[in-house]
Amino acid sequence: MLRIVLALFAAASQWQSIPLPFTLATSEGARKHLPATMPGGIAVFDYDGDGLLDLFFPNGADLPSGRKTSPRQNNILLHNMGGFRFEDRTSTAKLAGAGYDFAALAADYDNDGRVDLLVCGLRGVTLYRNYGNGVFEDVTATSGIDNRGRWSTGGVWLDYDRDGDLDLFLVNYVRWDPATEPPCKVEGLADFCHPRYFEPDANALFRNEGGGRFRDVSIESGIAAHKGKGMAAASADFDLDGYPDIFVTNDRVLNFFFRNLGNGRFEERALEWGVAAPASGNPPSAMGVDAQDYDHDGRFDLIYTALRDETFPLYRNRGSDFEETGLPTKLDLLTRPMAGWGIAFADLDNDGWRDIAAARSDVLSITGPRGATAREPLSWFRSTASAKRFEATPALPVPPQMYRGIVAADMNNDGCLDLVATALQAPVRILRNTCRGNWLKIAATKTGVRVRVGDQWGHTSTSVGYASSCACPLHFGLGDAATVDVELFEPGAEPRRFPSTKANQTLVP
Amino acid sequence: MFVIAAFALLFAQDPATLSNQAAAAMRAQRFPEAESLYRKLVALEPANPMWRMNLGLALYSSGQYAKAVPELEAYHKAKPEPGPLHLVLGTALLKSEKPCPAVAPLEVAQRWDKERANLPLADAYFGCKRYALAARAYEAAGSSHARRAAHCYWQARQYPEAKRLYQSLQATDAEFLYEFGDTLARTDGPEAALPHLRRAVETNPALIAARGELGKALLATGGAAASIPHLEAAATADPALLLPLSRAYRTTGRTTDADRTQEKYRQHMGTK
Repeated sequence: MLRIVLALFAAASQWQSIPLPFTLATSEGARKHLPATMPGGIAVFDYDGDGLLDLFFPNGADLPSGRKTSPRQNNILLHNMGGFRFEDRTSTAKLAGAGYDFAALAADYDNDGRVDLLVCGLRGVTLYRNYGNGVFEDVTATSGIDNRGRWSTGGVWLDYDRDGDLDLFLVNYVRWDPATEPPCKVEGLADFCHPRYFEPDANALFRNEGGGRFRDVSIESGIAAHKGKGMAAASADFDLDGYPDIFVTNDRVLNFFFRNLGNGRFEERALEWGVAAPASGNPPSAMGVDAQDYDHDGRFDLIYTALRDETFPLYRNRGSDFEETGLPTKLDLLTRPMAGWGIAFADLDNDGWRDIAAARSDVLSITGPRGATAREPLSWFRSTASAKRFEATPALPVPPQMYRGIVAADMNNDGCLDLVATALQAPVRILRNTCRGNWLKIAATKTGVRVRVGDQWGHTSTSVGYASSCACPLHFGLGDAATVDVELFEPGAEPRRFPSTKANQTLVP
Repeated sequence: MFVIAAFALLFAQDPATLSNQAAAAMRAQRFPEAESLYRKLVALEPANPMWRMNLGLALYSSGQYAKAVPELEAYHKAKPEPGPLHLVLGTALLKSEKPCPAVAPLEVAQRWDKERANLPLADAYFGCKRYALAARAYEAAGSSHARRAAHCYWQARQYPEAKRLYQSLQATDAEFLYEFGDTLARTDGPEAALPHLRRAVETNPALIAARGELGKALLATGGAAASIPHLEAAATADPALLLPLSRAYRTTGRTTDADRTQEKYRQHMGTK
């Protein structure tokens, strides 16, 4: 018993909650316009190259206009000053934005060594080029990226054609028009509408043509042929054929698995790969998604969040399809009473096995009939017994809120992954992690690189969870290991080996 | 003669006399007579809400719930303060098959008279599909309503609470076994649910929902072949089950059936 108590104490005291000076403005009013329940993305990236990860949060605007009319609706860039102190640099960086924004995708799309930013909004997307002097420039108009006024909730940067520069996949949600949006009620009270009241939309793919120009290849790639109600996307080389594939979560319709054929085209194969819907056959309210290898078999697995009674489905990649492993790993039973948005595979205790962090809350309003139970805490499910099971850990020291985005990132370079989380109409929080155990970070500059560290595998991708991204070093917990063999597999290149790499450092290949 | 008759008519239409006669009729449970007298009083003094309340009570007492509602509502509109009549109004609405409008007066009544209001309030929540609230109200109404409370927790997807109550019950009918099994599938996993679901289907093979759950539980626990007849039966009512059915076919080597069923599922779900 004493051991259990001590273990609980150790786990509970591992975290310190730090509120940040930023609160999401959703413009939720008496009329429940659907966009008001959807914000909460996070971008974590070192925009100024000082070695510390900075934070960017897209923010809401007036509804139904979708226009920002107050400084409290501005998107915000928080510069990491060290020691968990942050300074608002939004104005200098020119990142305040103008519309209702949800997601932020950080990546160096022009290969100039500086991380740029794409912001996804209600009426389109905005591409900001990082000039390296603390200033970004809105280059959307000249870039050729035009989402034609559609509502984008996220996306992923990937080099789908392996030409060395990053292309852009955009996730589009539904066609929303305030003029035709019905006034929905739940148990007699105004609340957000079910997605069935809105028409689906197609996702979009933009090919990077070089020189800061993109071309819309949605139709020729096959992406535009499939309409869904997209919430998030994860990209990885799931079939290990050298080309990155794309998994898209859809809200109450079948998910998409776009398999990259390597010739510029994708085929949608979610049913064949077993990830269109969980075993029950009922398409859930699939939300945020992450793809990493949780069981050390070298293949990239999937997890996504959903609402109560839908579980957070976990899929083990078997090479030619996915196996649903929520039951044997106990994750189904743990997550069935939960509703979630952001999610991330992350080794939060540095024991060498990826755990799962989730930002939880209901989609319905806190003013609605189910408002009393809409707020939920953040959760951390620990991988045990060589990833055969996940177990609940003591509640993280934060109050229940309408959590949306979550990103695991080492904000103070101590080798432990901290958690950054957003919540509707509540301050953004960092959960400082003071874990034990050795670690290694890989500062791979390119996305789509597979990395082997001992018997662990990871891949570089900036998108994570719901509406969020992390242009961060790839993190591996090492447990007691003092050295480890590292291999990097870049598409189309010879593997690079780094034998007996010392623990507790950031490897810059 | 004419003078006497006119005097008698005048006397009979005196509100005080009519009121006394109506009250006496109510006490004697001569409700049609009371209704008639109160109608006269309403006609004589339309601004007096008391007559409408009493008319409403007379109608309610003679089982004319739908007719009682507007009279009682008129009284409540004139005198909105909370009181025991909320229970009558709420119950009248409930018995007139208007459970959602019944909720508000019964919630007021529950603050005044928990003992008598809990059950109609629970029924109103239930009829209004507010299952979580209904479950709590049935539980508060006493242990004899535990089955209803369990059913409502199950409907509200509050499975741990449903499980707690189902475990305390001894029923053996198919619906009970199905709901208990379905609950256990969600709280403890498909293995724990199988005995209950099997008994539910044995008790009533026509309970299609139970066959669907049994099929899913069998498939999840390695019984793909055994799951097929149940999933085939249930998929006719619930096309979502075409997906587990196609997986069951595939697991048992029936690839053609699996492909055909998967395509049918895709068409039902409308992705193409």
